[in-house]
Amino acid sequence: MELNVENVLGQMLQAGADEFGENWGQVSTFATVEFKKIAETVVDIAKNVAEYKLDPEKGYPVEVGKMLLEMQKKSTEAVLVGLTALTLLAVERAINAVLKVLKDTFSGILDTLL
Amino acid sequence: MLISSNRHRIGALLISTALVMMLAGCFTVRLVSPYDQVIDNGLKEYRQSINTFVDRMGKNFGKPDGTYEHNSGTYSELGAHVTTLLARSKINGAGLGCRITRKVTDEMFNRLGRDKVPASVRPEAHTDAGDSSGCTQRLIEILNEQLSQLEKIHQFKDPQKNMTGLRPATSKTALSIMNQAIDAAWIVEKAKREGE
Repeated sequence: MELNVENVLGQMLQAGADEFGENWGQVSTFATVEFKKIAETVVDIAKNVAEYKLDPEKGYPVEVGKMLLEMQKKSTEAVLVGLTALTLLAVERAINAVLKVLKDTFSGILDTLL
Repeated sequence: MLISSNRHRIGALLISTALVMMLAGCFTVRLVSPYDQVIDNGLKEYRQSINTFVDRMGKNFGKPDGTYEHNSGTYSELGAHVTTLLARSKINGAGLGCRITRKVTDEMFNRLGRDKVPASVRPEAHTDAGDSSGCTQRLIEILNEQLSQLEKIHQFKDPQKNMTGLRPATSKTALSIMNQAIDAAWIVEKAKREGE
């Protein structure tokens, strides 16, 4: 293939997009699953507090429900931090895929020159 | 003449190899702390320990074996485990927290669908300041904070039994919440491993 700016640029863009797209799938799945869990837990806490009010042998007291909600806030933060880290990994791999195209291109040029 | 030519070729090969190695070194970036097998295994062990313990507490609710007073030592053991992992994560983190640029965060939430994201997890807290390598450290700090929260719930005196403990429903919800945080840290570590 002819070596010119357009070719190298095209390869770089493709490599970056492929790599980011592949890793983004993992980020997206993680976010969807975990956001659903957060919603389910909040509903579960409300349900258990309501059950306790009807029958103190079931569910748990509102004080416990509040403490569990505080705990859930921490897990929500963990999900957000996890998303951040996974996104960074996707970005890191996309950048490195682009840089690999450059490295391979320069290696090819060096082989030709030497 | 032949020797000179071979020398020239060997020299060229060495220069070429050195340049490629230099390029390989320069042409990679690292935005996240590297995979750490100790943290990976430690999270797995911690998940097993906390699940076994909390599940047992739920089953022993209303009995002396299920009270906080009878089990306070386990919190020290579990706390020591998390503290060790935290110390390990600090080796790679710069202690500046887990931050990415606003542009990257916005892109992340645009792709997810901003309207579908709960208000509590929207990226307003994210700024261009800070350091991205602190994500694993923050994830483990959260585990430590949740363990303290669980300890407080365990210390709560149940009005029905007039003793401390974790009701079966409490232990079920608490485990679901804690496993979510542990898994967030674990998934990140596994993702790092896949890229190594």
